[in-house]
Amino acid sequence: MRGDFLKGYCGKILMVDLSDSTFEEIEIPDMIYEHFLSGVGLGAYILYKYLPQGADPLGPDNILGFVSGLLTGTGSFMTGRWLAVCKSPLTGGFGDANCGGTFSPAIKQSGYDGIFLKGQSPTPKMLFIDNNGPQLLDAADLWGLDTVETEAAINQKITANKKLAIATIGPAGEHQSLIAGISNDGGRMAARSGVGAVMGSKKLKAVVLAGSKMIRSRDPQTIKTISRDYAKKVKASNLPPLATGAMLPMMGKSMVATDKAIPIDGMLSTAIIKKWGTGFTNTMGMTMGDTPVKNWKGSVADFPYRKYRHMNPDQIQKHETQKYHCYSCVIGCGGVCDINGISKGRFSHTHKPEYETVAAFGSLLLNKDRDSIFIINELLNRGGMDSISAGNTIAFAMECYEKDWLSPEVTGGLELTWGNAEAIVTLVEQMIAGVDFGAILQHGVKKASEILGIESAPLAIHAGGQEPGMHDPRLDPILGIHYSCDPTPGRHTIGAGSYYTYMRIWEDVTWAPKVKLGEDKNNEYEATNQVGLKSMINVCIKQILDGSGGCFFALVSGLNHFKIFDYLNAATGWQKTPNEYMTIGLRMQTLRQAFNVREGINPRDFKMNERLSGNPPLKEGPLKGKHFNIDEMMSIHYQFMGWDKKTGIPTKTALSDLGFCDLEMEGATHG
Amino acid sequence: MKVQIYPPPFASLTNLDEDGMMVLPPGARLFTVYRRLKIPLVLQPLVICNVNYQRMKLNTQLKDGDVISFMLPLAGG
Amino acid sequence: MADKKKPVIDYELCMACGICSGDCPLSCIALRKTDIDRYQKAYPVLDEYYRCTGCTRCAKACPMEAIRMM
Repeated sequence: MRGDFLKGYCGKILMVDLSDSTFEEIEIPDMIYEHFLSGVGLGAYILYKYLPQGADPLGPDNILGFVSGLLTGTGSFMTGRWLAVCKSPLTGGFGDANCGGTFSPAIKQSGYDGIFLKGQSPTPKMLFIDNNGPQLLDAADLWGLDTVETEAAINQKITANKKLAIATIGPAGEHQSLIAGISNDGGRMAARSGVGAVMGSKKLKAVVLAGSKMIRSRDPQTIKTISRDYAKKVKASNLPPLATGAMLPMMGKSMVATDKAIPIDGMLSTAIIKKWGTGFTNTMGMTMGDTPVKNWKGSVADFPYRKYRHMNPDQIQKHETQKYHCYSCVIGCGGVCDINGISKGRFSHTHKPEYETVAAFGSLLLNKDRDSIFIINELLNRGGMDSISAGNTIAFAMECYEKDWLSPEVTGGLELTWGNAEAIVTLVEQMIAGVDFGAILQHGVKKASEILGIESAPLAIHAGGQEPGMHDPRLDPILGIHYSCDPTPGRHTIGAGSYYTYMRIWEDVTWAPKVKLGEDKNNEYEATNQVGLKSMINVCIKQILDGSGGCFFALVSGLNHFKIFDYLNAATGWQKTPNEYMTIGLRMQTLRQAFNVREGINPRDFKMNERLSGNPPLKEGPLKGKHFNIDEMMSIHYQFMGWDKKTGIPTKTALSDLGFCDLEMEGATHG
Repeated sequence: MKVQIYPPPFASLTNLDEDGMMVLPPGARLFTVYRRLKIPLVLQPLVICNVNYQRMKLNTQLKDGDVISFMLPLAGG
Repeated sequence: MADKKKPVIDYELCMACGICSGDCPLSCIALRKTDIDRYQKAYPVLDEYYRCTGCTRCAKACPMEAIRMM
């Protein structure tokens, strides 16, 4: 039938061997996309198929992938995300890091759904792809430059018909810091899982894309109709002029004033994000209890209003010169901030600090110096290091210092007292450079605690080596499930009780439980069947989102608005029901888990530090006394995933029911 | 007539059923919804309210099946 | 020889999503016009008028149909 070949995806990937500078185009059959979508699913498929079991994450056998989404470039809105995938050197399991910016459409415009690199180059290289195909170019003169300098230098070196889309590592990735990320467009970061270290281990400095191939979908008119409906609602969602940042703490208090669930219309959340970006929760999270304080052991009592008010997003906005948004985004949560004055001329601009960075270097360290956070933000963006992991690691060091387990002799004279902004900035610089005391902290909190000794382990907040995002599971225990159960642990965007409520997935997926007005939120602190079901649903839809290139904020604006299932059918010509897509999501997640099991990971070892399950509970603040049994919560999640309830290993039945095409799944189960 | 309400967290829920529907007399206006939700005056400047995803005045007349959404932020990022 | 048609953007319809800019094979459209909405979102502008070949990719790609070739 005419147009049958138009499916939204390219149908092939590029495999680059950096050891012998060869390129191979690999055709991917339609069946693979129908089983795993694109994006993270395609990434998991390729890694599982081609990565040798037991590969050293920092060795030549590891494969680093840059994957776009199935919906990217099809005319859908909110689908400009890409992922870096690899075997993670931080956790030893499946690694993926999600990012926006300008890179995602550029991958598909090169003619590939994903670009994968194996081997190791003997000298620094960059991969350049334009309409003439791929080339490996010398990058020795770029090695040592930070990410912003690298992009500028590449733009000087290479002229192409199209503006270059660049993904690059900074010094942190070059030093193979296990918490190094990959930067795009001056500081949009694929930050987690140590993807930057893998890139650095391959001596790959940058991937530079300048292709302009067309991306074609089956029914572009339907896609446009869906997009217009979404845009109309987003356009109408605006805060009143009187709304100021000063009101946000009160809003936070009111959200936890009741234990009753209030199903909300996520669309109006776009109003708040349009105004402030993720920073709206800098202060709101303090009164809610969402924002962690003092290495997760404190509360708003330790970082009261007179301190956290400095993080008022209005104050951050004052420096914003214009908004920044990812490709195909109609909300626009990012921004560009002028920090010439703040940094005393050191930096002219920075991407507006995200909530994660503000919290990780603010309340988590009892640091009220807002200016220092702008500088840290730019240091980490340029250095190519994950702010969540870096902040958590410094918090750990500060708690050790508080206990006199670290002295100024060990820290090279740095006084790591809570809130010492100057010391924090210096330490960040050291971590990026991998020098002095920063050399101990540069690989994240797990390695740091191993170096410092066993007594420090309880203070090291991580799950399987990855540090948690700035959202407290003691407020939302299902978040805690995903911190511990996701194959890439410690991630705050996988799922939560609140995300489930905002998504309104029950309007599409017939077996998804409806959140009723007035439901008791305390029910989510017990490992009930409903909790298991919700956490499973979280994971399935998240995989669908990451397979599509979709944005998390679109998801939580509500699936009743962001019609991802309709988008997917219109792009591909499939006629799948939402229930069928959920099965695809379940398969994608099971494949990621299977990868971990095959790599010898015991899923239970990914349990998050028990401080985050309220063991022991906080004595003060909005989360005083809150706790849940994380072991039981993990069990109920595994059960609903169809995995062994005790071990978290996918069962033979689950694997055969789901079907994994040509992948050998034997090593990923034990019966 | 019935309208779908997405209330703000501090609202009174007594006039809503478990699906968030509110029964109103035909021709009821938006300010009736505000009154029944008991939205405090001091918080009203922060509250944004859309009817079918459009800003409407408080004296807007509602009809059966209208969706009235009150702004509520969320976590993530 | 007839002049090539060039994209003209209707800012009433435009959502500044960046698809036109990202899809243009010659990067003729820049996202830099910040005086359209209250958020200072960066709206598209045809910066490279003479480079533009009138290929119509931007107009066809725009989900809001905010671009006319004129």
